[in-house]
Amino acid sequence: MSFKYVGKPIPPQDGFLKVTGTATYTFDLELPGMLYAKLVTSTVPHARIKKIDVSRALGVPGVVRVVTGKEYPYRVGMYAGDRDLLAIDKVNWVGHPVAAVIAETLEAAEKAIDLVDVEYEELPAIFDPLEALKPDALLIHEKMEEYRHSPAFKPIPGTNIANKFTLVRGDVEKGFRESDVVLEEEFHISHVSHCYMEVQNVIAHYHLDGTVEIWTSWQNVAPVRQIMALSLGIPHNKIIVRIPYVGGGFGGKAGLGWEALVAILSKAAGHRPVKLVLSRKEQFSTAAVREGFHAFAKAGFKKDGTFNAYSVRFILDAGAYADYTVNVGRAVGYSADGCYEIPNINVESLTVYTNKIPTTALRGFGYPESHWVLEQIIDRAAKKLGIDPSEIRRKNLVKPGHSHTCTGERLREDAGDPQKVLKTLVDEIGWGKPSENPPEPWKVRAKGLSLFVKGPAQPPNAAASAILKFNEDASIDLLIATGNFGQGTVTALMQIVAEEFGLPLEKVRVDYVRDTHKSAYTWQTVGSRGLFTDGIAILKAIEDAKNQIFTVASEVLRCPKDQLELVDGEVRVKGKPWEKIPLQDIVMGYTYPNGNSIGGPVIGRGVFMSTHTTYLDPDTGQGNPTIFHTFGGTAVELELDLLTGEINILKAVEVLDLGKVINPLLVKQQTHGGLIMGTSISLYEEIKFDERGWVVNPNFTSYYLVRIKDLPREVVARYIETPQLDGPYGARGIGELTMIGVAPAIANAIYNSIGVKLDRLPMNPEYVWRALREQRPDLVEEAWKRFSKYEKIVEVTI
Amino acid sequence: MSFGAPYLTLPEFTYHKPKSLKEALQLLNEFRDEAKVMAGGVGLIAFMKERLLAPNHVIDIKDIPELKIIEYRKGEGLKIGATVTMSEIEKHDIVREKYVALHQAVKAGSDPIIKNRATLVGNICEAIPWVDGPVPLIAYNAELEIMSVDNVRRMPVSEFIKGPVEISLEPNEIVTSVYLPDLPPEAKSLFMKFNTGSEFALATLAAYVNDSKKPRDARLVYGAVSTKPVRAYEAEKIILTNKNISEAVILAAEKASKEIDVISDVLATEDYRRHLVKLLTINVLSRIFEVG
Ligand SMILES: Cc1cc2nc3c(=O)[nH]c(=O)nc-3n(C[C@H](O)[C@H](O)[C@H](O)COP(=O)(O)OP(=O)(O)OC[C@H]3O[C@@H](n4cnc5c(N)ncnc54)[C@H](O)[C@@H]3O)c2cc1C
Repeated sequence: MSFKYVGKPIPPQDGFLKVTGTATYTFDLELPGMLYAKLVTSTVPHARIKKIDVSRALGVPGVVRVVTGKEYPYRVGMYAGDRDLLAIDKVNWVGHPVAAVIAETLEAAEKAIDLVDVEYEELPAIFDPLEALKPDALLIHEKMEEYRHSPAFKPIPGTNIANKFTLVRGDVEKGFRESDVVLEEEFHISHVSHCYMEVQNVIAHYHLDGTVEIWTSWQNVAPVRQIMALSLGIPHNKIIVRIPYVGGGFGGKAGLGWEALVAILSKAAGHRPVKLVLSRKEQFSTAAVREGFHAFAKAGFKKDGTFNAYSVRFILDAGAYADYTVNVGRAVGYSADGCYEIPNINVESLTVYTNKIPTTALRGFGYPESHWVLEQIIDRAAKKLGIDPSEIRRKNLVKPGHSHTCTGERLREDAGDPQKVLKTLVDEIGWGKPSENPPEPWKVRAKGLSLFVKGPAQPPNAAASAILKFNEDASIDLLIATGNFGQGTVTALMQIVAEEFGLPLEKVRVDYVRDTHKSAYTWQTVGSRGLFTDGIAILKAIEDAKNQIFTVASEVLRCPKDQLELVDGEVRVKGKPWEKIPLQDIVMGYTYPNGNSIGGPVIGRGVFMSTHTTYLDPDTGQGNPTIFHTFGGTAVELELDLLTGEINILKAVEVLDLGKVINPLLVKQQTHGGLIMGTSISLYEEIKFDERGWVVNPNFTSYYLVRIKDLPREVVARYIETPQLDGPYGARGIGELTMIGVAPAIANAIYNSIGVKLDRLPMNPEYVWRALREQRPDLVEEAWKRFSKYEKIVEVTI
Repeated sequence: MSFGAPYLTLPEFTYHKPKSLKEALQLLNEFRDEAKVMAGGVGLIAFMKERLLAPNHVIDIKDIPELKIIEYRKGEGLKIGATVTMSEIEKHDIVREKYVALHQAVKAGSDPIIKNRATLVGNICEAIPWVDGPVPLIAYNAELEIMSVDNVRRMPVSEFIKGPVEISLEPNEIVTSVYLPDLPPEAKSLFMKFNTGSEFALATLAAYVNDSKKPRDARLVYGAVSTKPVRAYEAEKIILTNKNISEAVILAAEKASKEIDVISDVLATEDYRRHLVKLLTINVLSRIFEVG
């Protein structure tokens, strides 16, 4: 079937305003009478607050108020419900907001924060989650039992465990006994920041009549309202949340933000609007970042490569607050089996509090973490068994329609074609064909593979809806809440609407402001679900609108509804295209020559509701957590400098089974973006702490990020289209997926070629250099000899 | 102890934009400790935003004509005025052909937008241990011309930089130019930078070698490895005395990596930096001698 818009490389609809610098972000907004807030943050990692003296700060001209935590002791959150607005009587990390200054100007507020005097009584601090788990460890959250948490989670009061996720399937001990090869491995990752361009910023206006207006740089409107309503006790319809263009999110602007705090500040400042803007330094030390973790894995395989038993323990370093990270911990747990069928599996995933910066999701929501472990296990087993890494994968891949995931969910027949993903990946990277020799003989080239699968990590009842409104000229306003932070989902959704009505794309508009009052409800745009869930809701809304249109047209044209079709903006009788009515004569109601009218303004509505998803059993982790699975794989060919430890990706291949590519240009951009971000997180990014819990690299000169010269030199992206029958045009999600495979593929390439294990992220030059010296001193020695005797030194790139 | 600062605004200050050097020097003489000179402002504004500096007076020197000069005189050398930008230096023919290490250092730095504002003199005055500019300048034995209302003096760059963000400059003084001596045609110089995921290097090396004529000369200057650029005097001696060049290169590399002061910090450990020193030395010297 051929389409006019679906499947076409249409540029993102917000691109023009963004590149011309005229798109409006929350950062750009100012309201009349607006005040500025600035946070006073803790300088110690763990302490009781003895006294806060704000008198000197109040003396700064322009300062209106200084608010402290005791005045507004609310508990806020979405999942764990563990967060305070401002520290109430204890600070839990360096960077914890203890007070907020509100002033007429940002200058005054910034001057005043240095004049708030806080007296602390220090407590011992815990920086390692393994320490936090010890029976005699000090409690970071002493009142955990009071927190209002979602039923999907299991906090353990009296410990530092914010959530304990357990999954049991088969008999793992028996599985190990019956395995021929058993490996035990450890892995670690560091904290990273999302590094989006637009820092977190919020304007709140708490009106005198009790209505609260919010403007915020966040991913989604609904959760902001939900969190505020639940924690501040304000009725939902009195909270209006608006989100204009957003300068990036990557999961860091989902979950809990600053809106409740800023609303309270607005109230405290005499109901004037207040704006809070974080600095980059605060993004690195006060806003939530992605957690670090330890993983301890044991895996059993049969001689023929069958993956027989897997037991893994994930310990997430969630920092001082884990409101959203508990769900990351859950997702790490139930995605532990990746895309393999493992009959015997045990998973424990603990989300653990420490006295470090709070954490949240980051692109991939636990899946990059679980795959970092699993995909390396596969290669290590392959080497032990003498089986090719592609072959061992082929052997153990799940079979849609037959296999069950580790949560016991039977994979749908139309879940995708993982074998085809693997085959395409292997072909495109030239697996089995040795790399060319690098020009410098102290370098090695190697290839590595990683597969992955992901579905949205969401509650079982996460709904979506859409409203579609016709205007007089038969143009359409599509009222959706789909987050619009650079992914391109909205463009793809507009393509679907234009396609279905046979209208030019320009006739479809989605406003750039998401608004709880005006947009249809969608739970959240996270987990790569936007196109899928909101797309389904939109298709239903289209059907609803079409039905209204055909009802009127059928009367006017005196023709049964099922004989009508919509072509080029007209309703026509099938087979008699001359019997027609232009859409604009119907969408506001049809008027007969004498003035009699029928029908009325057309408004379509549609919903998405998942009917088969469930909560997971608290003891066994069994149930149906996801609405789709997208299968994919990443392969890299890289060059490793044995002397410096530098890794350069020469070629990256990414294959995804997307069901249907609605927009090949946007899908390609997502793929390239994911590979870039994946490369950055694999090789460079790491938040570093000193022994007192301070973040020592809160800026882009010492927090390393990928630079243009570090990007993969060549990228090959291939998409497979095995339609998911209930997806919009058969499509599944892509957004986060594209970066999951990068890190394990890199580590696997190095392990396969020279047997060096890289267990932790980032694999930066110094770490790799050390690993090489420890594990392969012979190779390093040889490389050194070649380098120092090398006659012809090639042009050095600088 | 603090790392970075949360501010988005600048502290209050009065902005001056003198039209002549004399006027600038007078302003500086008047305000002294209360004032800071601003060239490109790339460093100064960032320091002010972080509250590392909070001058009440900012004296912008960009409108002073005589500081905009970049000029080569045979026999005398190259003079680079205080407001000459990194971009202008990068494009300068003599720099590219003759002062290769300087050219490479400027080329390897930041990006075009920064380089259109940032000056070399500002880069030196910042004296951040990681910056690139001072490294080749010390290798060339470059000197600064420094003026106050009643004095003009000259000082080698190597002495001017005393430590991290610490320079030998009185509150009423302005650095007006940097002078690079003319180089004999046989002289070779190269710069190399090891950086990863950031503009700021983990180690740099500028090497200057003139081994054709007497007096033979060699200088190896390492940046980003310590609190200020450091020379490897013993390694330089090896280059000047050892006749077997390929052996000298290796020995000098070994020596340099041991003899110089090297620190551990957030970016890298001492071990790794010493290792990089060795690699850079071999890389740079091999190229110099092969070309020569
Ligand atoms: C994104 C980014 C990337 C960078 N990358 C690099 C890099 O790769 N390599 C590198 O070396 N540097 C790099 N830098 C640093 C940059 O090159 C320096 O900040 C810049 O050269 C400073 O020059 P300026 O003219 O802007 O100095 P200013 O900011 O104007 O001044 C800096 C300091 O020097 C003083 N000063 C300036 N001129 C004089 C004078 N004539 N007399 C007395 N005092 C003076 C000022 O008072 C101030 O204290 C980077 C900076 C940024 C922001």
